[in-house]
Amino acid sequence: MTELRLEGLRLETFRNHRDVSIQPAGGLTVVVGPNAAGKTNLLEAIAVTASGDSFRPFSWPDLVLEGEASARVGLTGIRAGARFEASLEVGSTGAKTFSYNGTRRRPSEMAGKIPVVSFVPEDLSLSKGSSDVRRNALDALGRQLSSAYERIRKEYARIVRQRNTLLRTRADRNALDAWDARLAEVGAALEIQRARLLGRIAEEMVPAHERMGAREPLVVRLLPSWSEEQVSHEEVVALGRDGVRERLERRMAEVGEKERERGHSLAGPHRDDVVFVLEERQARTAASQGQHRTIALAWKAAEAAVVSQVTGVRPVLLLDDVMSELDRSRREALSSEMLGGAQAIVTTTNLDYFDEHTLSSAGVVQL
Amino acid sequence: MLYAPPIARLLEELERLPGVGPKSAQRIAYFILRSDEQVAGRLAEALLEVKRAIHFCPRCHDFAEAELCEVCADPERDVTIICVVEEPRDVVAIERTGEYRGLYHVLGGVISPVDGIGPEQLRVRELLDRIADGTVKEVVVATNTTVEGETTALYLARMLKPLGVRVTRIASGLPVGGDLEYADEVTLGRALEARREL
Repeated sequence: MTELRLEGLRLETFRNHRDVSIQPAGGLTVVVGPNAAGKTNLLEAIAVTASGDSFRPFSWPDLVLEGEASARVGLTGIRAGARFEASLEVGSTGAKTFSYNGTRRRPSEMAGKIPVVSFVPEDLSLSKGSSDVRRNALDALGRQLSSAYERIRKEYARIVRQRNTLLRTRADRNALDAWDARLAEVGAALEIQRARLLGRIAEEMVPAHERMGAREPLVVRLLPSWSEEQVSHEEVVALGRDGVRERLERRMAEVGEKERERGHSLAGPHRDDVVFVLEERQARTAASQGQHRTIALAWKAAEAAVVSQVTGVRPVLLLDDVMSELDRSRREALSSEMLGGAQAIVTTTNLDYFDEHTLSSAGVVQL
Repeated sequence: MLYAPPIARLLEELERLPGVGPKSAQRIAYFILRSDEQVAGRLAEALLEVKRAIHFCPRCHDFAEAELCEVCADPERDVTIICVVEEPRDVVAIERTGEYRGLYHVLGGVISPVDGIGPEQLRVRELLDRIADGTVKEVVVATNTTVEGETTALYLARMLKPLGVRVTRIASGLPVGGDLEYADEVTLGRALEARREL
């Protein structure tokens, strides 16, 4: 596995920070400070520079400190024995420039260079939230791992948007047919990609869930828009593009009338769901608060493992104030599953969430 | 900053141009102000001349100076094959490859419901009319490989096939999601050779 270590981080006029530099430790770095000190912004700066994306909804101009022309983030560190330097510059108009070792890059070209896995309190709603939370979690991971995944996802989203507009304007049948065919074709490609990715996640997530002390075994399933029943990711992959396309076409024919009534596409991967099953019951409705949290933790541990496998680099973990959301046993599970040996930057309002032994080897940054 | 009214007017007109923002407009305006009057005269004349002399070719809807465009007027071109493109600039890109000897048809855009553009806003009807007399045996669809370009290609294939004409699509070698305009000649030439049935 390729070694990756962040050694320096500098934020200039980024969000609320005028000029801040920190030197993360090789293992755990705890960033402690009161609310509104800008702890989350610090993690966001790393995430956006490394992956071109944040763990929260944002627009590029938001990243620039009020009244300033631009914001800059610089990351330095060691990757595979060599020093690297990555930077992001964002103008107040939203124009952005990524560079890696002095060369300008597109955000998509940053994929896999400095992999990060973030964990924020909102991620805890993974299994109890609505289906888009789970789709977004998969897509955010897919985007970081493969530019082809992101290309297909964007293409598909564009097709759905175009087709929805057409449905609302009650256009002629021939034009709609062409969009139907494209939705089924690109939708099938996206569904297969997602099923493959979910397969990798499940492989890591199920044992992690068990190691975290859950008594009930976890089963990860898919609920595609074309099926009344949950299916396994293997079944979707085995159908292949043609098989999924046929099912999407059949489903579109069934819901065609309803689609025109509502002016909205009802078949396709934008309607798919990931289902977590505990003792033959859907976790979404049946699980306790504690069970939901364990599922979310297991997913994050799996994400870190999958990123390592695919990129060959152990990702830097960015944990935003999640310790306060977890009880003691889950904090310990998080420490042993994710923090062991990884470089992690963790924000908190209260150092008491960490035991003395952990803190003795950690770097502490006061904001 | 306040400009003298004639400069402000020039800046305003320049900023209407695609790809020209306030800064570029200012740079162009200052260049013109510093240059000889002849420079401005030649530019103004060229602008008016192009609008006076150029019109759409009634057959392929590419730009033309004479009644028909150069390609449509050329007796050496293969009249059994038509290449469908989005914009006149795509004709230029394909001509540069030297691989293609047939005729063109410029759609004037692509199907894009969010922009309010359907087949009726494009020159689709005119294309079907050109196929009607049976001379054309093959239509090569060379719209861009964007979401809208691909969908337009599919739409055209569905409309044209029942008329008994062979419909092909330029393929491999084009970066997916890219604009035809930015593809280099070699890539485009190869893509034309490897066109596929739709």
